[in-house]
Amino acid sequence: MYNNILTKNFTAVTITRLSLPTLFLVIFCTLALFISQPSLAHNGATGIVKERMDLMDRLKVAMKSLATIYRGGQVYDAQQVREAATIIEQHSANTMARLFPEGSVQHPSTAKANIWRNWDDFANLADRQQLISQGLFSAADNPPQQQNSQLSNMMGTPPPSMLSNSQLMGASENTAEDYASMPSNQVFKKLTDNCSSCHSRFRAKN
Amino acid sequence: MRIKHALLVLALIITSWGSWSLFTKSAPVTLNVTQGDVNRGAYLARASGCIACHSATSAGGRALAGGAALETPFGTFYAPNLTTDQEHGIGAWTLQQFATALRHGTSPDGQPYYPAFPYSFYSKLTDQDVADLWAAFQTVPAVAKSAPEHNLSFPFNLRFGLNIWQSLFFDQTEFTAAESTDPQYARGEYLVESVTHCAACHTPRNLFGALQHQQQFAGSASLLQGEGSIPAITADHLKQTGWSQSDLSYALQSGIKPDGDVFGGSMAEVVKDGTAYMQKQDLQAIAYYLLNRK
Repeated sequence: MYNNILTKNFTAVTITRLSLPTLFLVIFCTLALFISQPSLAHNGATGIVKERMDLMDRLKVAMKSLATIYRGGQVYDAQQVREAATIIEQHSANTMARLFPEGSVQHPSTAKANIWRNWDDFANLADRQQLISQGLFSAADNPPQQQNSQLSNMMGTPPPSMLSNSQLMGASENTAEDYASMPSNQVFKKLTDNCSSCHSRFRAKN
Repeated sequence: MRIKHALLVLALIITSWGSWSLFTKSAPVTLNVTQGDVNRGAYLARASGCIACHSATSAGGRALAGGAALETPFGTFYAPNLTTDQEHGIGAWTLQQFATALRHGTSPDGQPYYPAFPYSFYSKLTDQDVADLWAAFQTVPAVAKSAPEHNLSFPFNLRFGLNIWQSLFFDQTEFTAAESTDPQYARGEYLVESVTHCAACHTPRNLFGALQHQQQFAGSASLLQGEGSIPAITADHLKQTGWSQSDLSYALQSGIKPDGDVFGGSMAEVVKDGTAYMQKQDLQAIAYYLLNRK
């Protein structure tokens, strides 16, 4: 009882001593702290699993900002492309791969165990992410260009060579210089395809 | 023990019904058109997943020469070689045999196909689309190598038992569009319910692997090993989770979800090898239909 009165008095005194702006600041910081806690969004992930889920979250934010640009939802902003490309580049290659130590599939991880049976492929995709994001940075000043103008008025008609092996198997590897000279939306497509290739093989979540 | 007996009884029923069904083969399909358009067929081969499923690209396999292993609770399926090779592919087939495979789910020698080949959707393709697909398949370079045989557990390895499966679960009626004067809805319906066969993964299946139509698009645990769960794509669920027509259409084109995440699992493959090649108006029609489905 005595303790309760003490606590109530302390709380009341503390609140009345704080100015209104300070109070708002405290509430804002507390909320921000909770909202920015990735563990809340990751169903209690801990350790290395949490670390890599946080990394993927940062990639997700960067990809979202790029997708917003390339969907045509806003005016093209080369600086915004460079900033997002830098974030992606910084979270690629070994920075990403080192967060996947063998066997780390603890809940709530969605990583598939085949990562470690195909480690070279996995690491190669992480490296390619770095190469393509560097390419996107360099290509940021190249305006987006629509690829399929030849299809514009033909409902359901693809390029004639759609079934050739070269079309089906994808183009040969691009270099950083290739990416730097491409329209930036096409480099972004390469980046998305790379994420997709990795997720389709190594992530369980659809 | 009871389960074992039940399985044996089931196998007996399947065997007897299956044997009887072997003598009652479905009539071969005759299309109203025989001339196909290679380009439209190639587009359909992408959109309908032929290329995604029948090409093991990540393992360095050739186009349509046979797919990667599909590991399911029934065993492992391997999509066969669909190249023009006379012996190992479908080079010796006729258009009629091709149409019969799609419409009736039976091979040229009358064997029923496993429903891992989604013929219950392809049976709804128009005559022209079937002819177009056939024309496109004629242009595929031959690969002289057979895909591995399916490796299934008992009793699912008894292929003739599929006759009973087909008679119970395979609806061979023609595609009938819902009454709609809205061309975008009608196009979306045809694509979703036939070409892109979304329900094959997004609708739960019963113990025998047949779709539970009363739970259309309700989402499901994936039948593919290690795939996790497949999300619901009912109109209500899509709206509740914040998808717009533009989001959905863009996700099918790019693989990127509205929150910046990129599809994983088999959906990543569906986009990368299929829907990414589709025309914007078709993707918009798919999204429109899914969000407004009656």
